[in-house]
Amino acid sequence: MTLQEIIDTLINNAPSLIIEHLQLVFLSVGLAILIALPLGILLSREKFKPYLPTIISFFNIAQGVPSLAVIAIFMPILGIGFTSAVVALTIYALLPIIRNTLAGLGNLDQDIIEAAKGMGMPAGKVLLKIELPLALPVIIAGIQTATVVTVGTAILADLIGAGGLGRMIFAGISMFEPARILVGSLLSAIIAISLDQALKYIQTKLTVQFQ
Amino acid sequence: MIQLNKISKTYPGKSSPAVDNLSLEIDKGEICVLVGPSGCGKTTTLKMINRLIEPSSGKLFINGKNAINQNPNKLRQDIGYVIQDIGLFPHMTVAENIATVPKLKDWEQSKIDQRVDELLNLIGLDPENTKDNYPAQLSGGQKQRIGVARAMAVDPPIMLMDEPFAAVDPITRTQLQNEFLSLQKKIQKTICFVTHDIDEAIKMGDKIAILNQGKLVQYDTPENILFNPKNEFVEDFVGSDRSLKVLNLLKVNEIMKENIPTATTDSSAEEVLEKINESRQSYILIIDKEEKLVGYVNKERIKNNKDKNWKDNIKFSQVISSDASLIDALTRLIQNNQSILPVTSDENNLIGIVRLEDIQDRIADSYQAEAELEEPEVV
Amino acid sequence: MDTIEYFIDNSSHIADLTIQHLILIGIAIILALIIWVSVGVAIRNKDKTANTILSIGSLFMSIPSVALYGILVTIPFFGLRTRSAVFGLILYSMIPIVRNVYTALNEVDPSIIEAAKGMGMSEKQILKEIQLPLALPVIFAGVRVALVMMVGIATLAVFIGEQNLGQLIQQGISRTRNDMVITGAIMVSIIAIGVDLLIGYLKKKIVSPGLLFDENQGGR
Ligand SMILES: Nc1ncnc2c1ncn2[C@@H]1O[C@H](COP(=O)(O)OP(=O)(O)O)[C@@H](O)[C@H]1O
Ligand SMILES: [Mg+2]
Repeated sequence: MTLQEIIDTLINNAPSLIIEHLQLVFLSVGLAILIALPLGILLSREKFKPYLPTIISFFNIAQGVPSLAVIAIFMPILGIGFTSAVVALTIYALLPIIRNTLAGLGNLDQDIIEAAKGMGMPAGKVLLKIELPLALPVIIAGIQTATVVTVGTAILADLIGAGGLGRMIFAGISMFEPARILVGSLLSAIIAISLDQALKYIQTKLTVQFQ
Repeated sequence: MIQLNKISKTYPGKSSPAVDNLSLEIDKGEICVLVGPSGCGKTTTLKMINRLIEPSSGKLFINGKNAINQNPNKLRQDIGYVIQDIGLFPHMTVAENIATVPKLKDWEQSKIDQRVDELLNLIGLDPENTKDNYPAQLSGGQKQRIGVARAMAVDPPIMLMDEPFAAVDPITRTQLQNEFLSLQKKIQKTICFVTHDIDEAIKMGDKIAILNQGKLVQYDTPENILFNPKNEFVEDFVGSDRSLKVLNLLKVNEIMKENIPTATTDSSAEEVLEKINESRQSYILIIDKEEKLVGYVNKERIKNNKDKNWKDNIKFSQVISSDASLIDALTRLIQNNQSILPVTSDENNLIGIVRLEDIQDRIADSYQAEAELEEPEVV
Repeated sequence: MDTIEYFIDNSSHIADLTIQHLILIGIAIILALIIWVSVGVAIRNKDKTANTILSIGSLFMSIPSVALYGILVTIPFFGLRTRSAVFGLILYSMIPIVRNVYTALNEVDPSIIEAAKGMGMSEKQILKEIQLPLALPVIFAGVRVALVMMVGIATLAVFIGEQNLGQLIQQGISRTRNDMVITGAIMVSIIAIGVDLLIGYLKKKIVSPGLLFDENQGGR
């Protein structure tokens, strides 16, 4: 593995794979947010309160299912390819977002909510103006986790033919070309860390704004 | 026993000392109460005695020995320490909590077990029912008692107590204070007791040290603090209701009436009625064969219910012990809307009564004393 | 149906892979506990060092596991297979264990520490007899997270030559054999849930009952 090899790999293969990888990540996380946020809000409402511990422990267990298994399990149903990968990644990304939405909305200071209701705010407004803004840092932390997990799991998506940086890494492994393994791994690490930091920045910005 | 010699403490980064050139001597077997407004340096002073805080300057002698030269952990094992938040170890049972210092001192297990039972009995808890409980299972008052028992585990001659009863409700607090005072009669420890509550100070202290901004303002008996305040600060701190505060100081047995008329449970209704008439009261206290108090009956009730068994008319009465303070007696009288309170021993034997009117007389007396005290200022 | 048939026909192979899987996470968790609990204890009074160490840890956490393995195999000392696999798992368990040890030790009620000090306990005795036992529930929570994560990440070690349940999934994908994929996924999930239950059980056994009253609603 020489420096030249690394540079060649980077220039020849990387750009399109990076784009594919980012497509997988943004599409899946985006879909996951669209599904998980309303679902989390719904489950956090009063009528589901008695079942909350059960719901949360279900998500805890589901989180324990390995990412490789999640990717693999959808293959028999949806076949191989990009769509199938996005479905698997989306479902895997749902868990941390729902969990944090539930935690964020569930741990709010009840006095504040009481006060808002007491002032005659309708329930919808209380949710939009009080509950969600207060729970936002925790919800974003969940999105952060989901994003990092998805960047990693998207590598595995290549196993079901979805492309992305996984293609470079697995090719490197099967042909034992360390340059490819290293470049692919470093690139996905860099993507994960940058997205993580970006979301962390947004999260601290929001937290500061509220305090 | 404990001697602070020109002790000062300045915390790092602070310009003024938290404790300033403080000298204090606490005699053997005495309770010395440190009292003063919040932030005046009470806790700092107390913690310098067991060297949780090292003094910036000055000398500390415990039992005549310079405490600054000793191993601080060894020193602390021989000084009982009770704090407001108690600090019971939640992962240990009551017995294990109490056994902490004995274990540090490598006592044998059999000796430890024996001591735990002894201490639990001493603080009025049943060893069998409590010793395997965890702190989370105890009430606030029980925790506080265990905290005291833990501090006394190796029978240290000295105890330091930092607002030990501040975290419990007022009724439990009074109870704990009384229990502790009667315990102290038995154990005769040298105690340094911190509080911000002047009433508690007057009640608990043999001597009271009033602190202000790290300086000792007056170190004196409760009587002198009340009636010979050294300066305006002490006077203000004690407050204007001195005459009521004296009630903290006076004990029930000082105004208790003894040899009061009683009737026994085996007398007939006629005999009881006759005794009431003899006593010229509207009621009479009833005792059993062993002179234990049963309750009281009203004259009217016996008269009006002649045909029934007169004993059905015996009513239960609140009681008080002879070493309780008059403020306790007054509180109990008012709370229960009674004009007399039977005084009983620990075994419920009737010793006498306290009357509301006698307490009122004492208040009037001390108002007069207070007025005389203030007179020179008026002139 | 296929899956059950596959399971029965290959039970001894599956058992082998399961054992390999368990051995890998067993070695990793033991080493991780030794290393990360010590680190957590060592940094308990050093806020600055702790912050640095914890941010390094979260950096590791955000490296995708396949990528981390990919980087590790290119380092000559680690190379393919077990060393890289174990080392990767240890790195991933850093955050849950170190952070929980550190926070739990620091969150012990100061009045409890003061009481212990006031009774003449040494710094070491306070750590061993008061702080660590009190921190145990939180430490257990961290170990639980670490272990469940390890079970999943261990499957990815097949790409660097480890033989474990991940192999069933990987081969199942490349041969489009659903029965293999499902068998692998179910076995791994069972291990994850089993490990979770085991930790819960150990917690009940080891943590003082005095600390579990809130959880059991048995206390006042
Ligand atoms: N650890 C500390 N560091 C700095 N200042 C302290 C510390 N502890 C107490 N102080 C200061 O010292 C003064 C006396 O405190 P303390 O002895 O706790 O008072 P008290 O117990 O009478 O309320 C206060 O002004 C307090 O703010
Ligand atoms: Mg104080």
